[in-house]
Amino acid sequence: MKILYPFVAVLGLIIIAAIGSQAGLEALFGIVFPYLALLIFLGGFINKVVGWAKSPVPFRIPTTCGQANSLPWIKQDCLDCPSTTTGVLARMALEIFLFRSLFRNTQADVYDGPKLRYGSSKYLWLFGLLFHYAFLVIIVRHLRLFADPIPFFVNILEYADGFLQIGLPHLYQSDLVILGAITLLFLRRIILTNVRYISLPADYFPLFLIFSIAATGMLMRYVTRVDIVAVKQLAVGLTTLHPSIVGDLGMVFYVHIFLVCTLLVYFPFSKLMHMGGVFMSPTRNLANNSRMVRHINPWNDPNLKPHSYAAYEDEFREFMVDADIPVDKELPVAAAEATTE
Amino acid sequence: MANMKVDELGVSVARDPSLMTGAVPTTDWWDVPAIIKPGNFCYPAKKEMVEYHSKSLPGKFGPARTWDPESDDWQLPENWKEIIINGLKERLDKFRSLKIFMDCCVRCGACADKCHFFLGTGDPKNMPVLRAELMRSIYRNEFTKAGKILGKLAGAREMTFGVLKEWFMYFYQCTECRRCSVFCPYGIDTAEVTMMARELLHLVGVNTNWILEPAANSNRTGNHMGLQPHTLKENAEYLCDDIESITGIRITPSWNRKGAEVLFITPSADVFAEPGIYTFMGYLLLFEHIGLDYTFSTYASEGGNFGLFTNNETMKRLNAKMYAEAKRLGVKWILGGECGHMWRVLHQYMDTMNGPADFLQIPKSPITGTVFDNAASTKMVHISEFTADLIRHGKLKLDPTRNNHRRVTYHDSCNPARAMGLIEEPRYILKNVANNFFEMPENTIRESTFCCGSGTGLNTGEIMDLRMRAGLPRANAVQYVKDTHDVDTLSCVCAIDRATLTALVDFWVPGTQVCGVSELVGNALVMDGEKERESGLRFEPLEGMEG
Amino acid sequence: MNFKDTLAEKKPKIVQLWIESVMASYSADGASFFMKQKDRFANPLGFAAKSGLTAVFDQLTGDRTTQEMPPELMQFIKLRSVQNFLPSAAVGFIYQLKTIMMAQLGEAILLEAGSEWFAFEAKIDALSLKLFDLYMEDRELLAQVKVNEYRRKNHVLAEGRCPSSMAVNNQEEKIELKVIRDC
Repeated sequence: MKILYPFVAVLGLIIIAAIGSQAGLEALFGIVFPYLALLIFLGGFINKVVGWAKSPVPFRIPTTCGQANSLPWIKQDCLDCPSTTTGVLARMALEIFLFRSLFRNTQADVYDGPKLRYGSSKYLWLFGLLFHYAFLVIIVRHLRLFADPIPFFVNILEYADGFLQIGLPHLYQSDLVILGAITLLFLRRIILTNVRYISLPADYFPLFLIFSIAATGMLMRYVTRVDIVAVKQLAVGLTTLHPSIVGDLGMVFYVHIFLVCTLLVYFPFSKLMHMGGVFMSPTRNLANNSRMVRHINPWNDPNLKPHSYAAYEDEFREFMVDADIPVDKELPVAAAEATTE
Repeated sequence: MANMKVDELGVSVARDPSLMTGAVPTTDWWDVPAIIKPGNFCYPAKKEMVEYHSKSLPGKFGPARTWDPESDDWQLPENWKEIIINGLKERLDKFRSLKIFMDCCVRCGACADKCHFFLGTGDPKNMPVLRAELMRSIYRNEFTKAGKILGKLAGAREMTFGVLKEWFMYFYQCTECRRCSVFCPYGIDTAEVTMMARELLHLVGVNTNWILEPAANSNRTGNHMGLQPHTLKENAEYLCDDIESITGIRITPSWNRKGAEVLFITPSADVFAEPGIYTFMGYLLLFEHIGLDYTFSTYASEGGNFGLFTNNETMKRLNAKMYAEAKRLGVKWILGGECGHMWRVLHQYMDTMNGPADFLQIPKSPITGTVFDNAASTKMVHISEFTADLIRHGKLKLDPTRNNHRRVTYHDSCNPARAMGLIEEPRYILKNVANNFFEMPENTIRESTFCCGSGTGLNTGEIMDLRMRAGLPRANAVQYVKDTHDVDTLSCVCAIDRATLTALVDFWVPGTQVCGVSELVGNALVMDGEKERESGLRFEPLEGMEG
Repeated sequence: MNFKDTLAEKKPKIVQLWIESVMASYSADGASFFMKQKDRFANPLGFAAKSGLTAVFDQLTGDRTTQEMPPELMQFIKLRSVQNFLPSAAVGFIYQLKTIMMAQLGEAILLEAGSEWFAFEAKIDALSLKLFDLYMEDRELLAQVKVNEYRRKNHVLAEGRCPSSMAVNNQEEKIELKVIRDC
């Protein structure tokens, strides 16, 4: 069920787009939905991030993964236990660009038997990294459709991405990588029983959705050979707020764009928001300088006082005097006499 | 024999409803009920304890009553669900960490096999990701659009009594050790989730005595043990007697002395319970050796803070005594003993909660002149930092051969390692005071250290089996160095460790002793005017003195 | 082929099946992890099971020269003793070996082996009693650990009757309540 429902949902979306676009609703699917989706995406994303930002960070709670800044002759682990902003930036950069925490998983070294290293976690790091970078490359490549003239870096990237020069049009490696990585991430989710056990429909849905987006995209490029000039016209039109649909873009195109719209709409309300969250995680983005610089908690209640010393001494004064422990207030005379007896 | 089928011959392995022996669950995790039975839960707090805490923090501890976790009637307040949901909302608004940790998890499973509770029990709900999902599912149901619209499909579920039972079970099978957080790509820290869950449980009066009673003791008498001032002093004097018979040196520490340079605070277990007392003797010898101008306090006689396992307010109130007492006594700075969660509070919470400590000075070692800039604001220094600095400057006369009868390894306590970054200092000390020092395997130490399995107020006798399971990964690594290097001493810088690891190795690796790093320092210190030492601080014969 | 040779040949398969069946006594999700993760520090439970069961089998087939209990097995029983199993389940896994062997070796070989097989079975039965002894030893040890902890005064934390609170008020029965109200 956990796998079936999201699968059916994506299938449903594809069918809706396929039928809709053939029923004369091109403008709805090609123009209205993209604008709507973008608005929801931006609104939702900002809303979520602002929502997070609204909650304060009452305490400085970095997870220290190495030696802290302490005595001058002890070497600090500046990347895993930074005490300065620069260090934090470096730590965050490694986390965001290289998924450092996931990579850490591979340290195990003593194995019994001459078995292959078991490293599902390392695979996770690899698949994850491949997937995210392929996705990024594909998004940047798409800029060629939205921008006129095409930014220089898009051309460079495109060239690099297709440098194997297989087939015509040239096959992009990122296309293969993203399909492969998604497949492997999916397989990992169903093969490793403990990961399967923790998986929710919300984990499969984005996998199916993104897979379908990539697949329809490739279909257009390599098989149905969509009219790229017409697509660009629409895309540039969308960016310049003068959208128009010229000619027949084909069913696959509408499916593709509708799935992208779905992804955009779905994004802010789902776990995909980890994209924003990773920047704001208090265990990673704070310096381990809690004893050096006072961190302020906006809701700290200054009126919350400890059980006072005076009350403590009142309760135990007799014993304290008896045990020669200094007191602030001496015993009343009568009691003092009683204890000396 | 011939025609019998394998199934028929199979021994009927009892399938009692425990999660350990349960039949292969074909059901989803949310359909597997938590079954509370003797041995897997901590006893609930006594009614008086709840009453006592409620006096200073009304509303934070729910109804005071006698209740039985095994029964199906916990005598919760009528509107308990509302209290939990409102409490959750309040905490989401107060802690960004909670909000982000509720939203960001992608269930990649990287944390799954990092938890010592999972490794020792095999119970899937002990995977950190599922532990957090226990709360996330409620969060989604109440606070997210997807959860409200899609319900179960989005991983949302309603708060029910069954869920509450799960919370009580699994948030008290988490020791807030943060190991999962090291491996999470988003730094999701289950300790944060557990802390919030326990706060919420307290709101409806679901609690454990092992946490609330020490917290009450600490509030009233100044320490968890409930030692009153004279008892505390008396106990310390007994230990001084022992020091005298071992070294020939008489030490008379001062108590509540105004005008001392340094206030020294350590967990009260060090004054009272084995094997912490040997660590305490180590402190005393060290301070005597260097002639430190210091005092103990009876009012702030507890380093540990069970408020950390209770709620924010209790933590703050208990911790506030330290600054209050430092101010009253007019000391220059505070030195802290060996303790794990104590240092989590001191390092990451104290200054924020109870600072600024502008009445203190930036800590400066009176012996070496080293200024502890890393404690410039909090003004509290860890004994390992202090000792390492002394050794580095050659201010200690040490004879490491006096620890030759020990083969030592070092257990990184969770909080100093993962919430403070205190990793090299104790090792530096150990290498200088002991000749036989061996590390446990790489993925079980430093930031990857395994918890003792009994932290966060779980070190109680009624769940001994559970503690042994949870401590298995740690014990397993100790066994390894015992097998390979004949290690017989497990050192650490944590009072809870000293208490719980002792039980753990008693069971798993018999013949292993647990000690504080300062105990070994005390053994090695060559005191002025001491007699020839024949035994260590436990009266155990030194190498060559066995006869 | 005689019984011994067949046994030697089938050993990997039998041990593997046995480990799997023992692992099935843990919930499915844990079991798969415990089977796969090979690092003995990242997966102490799986390691203990594997090494313990292999050691038992070697003991039974006489591949181990000593008659002492293999330490790996002792460790495994120790683990079972604190894992919430009923006593029968904690040590009963030894009998599963019989059923697995019957299925794996097949009727023909067992009939042919005759007395050899019966001797083997008898060894399993004898070992099962030893396992029970071990199990009880471990439970006793656990009880001792509890007593030791008590002696170390750990309980003072939550007994409500710490020595100093006694000093305040010697009316034993009322101690707890009185102390609390006094605060």
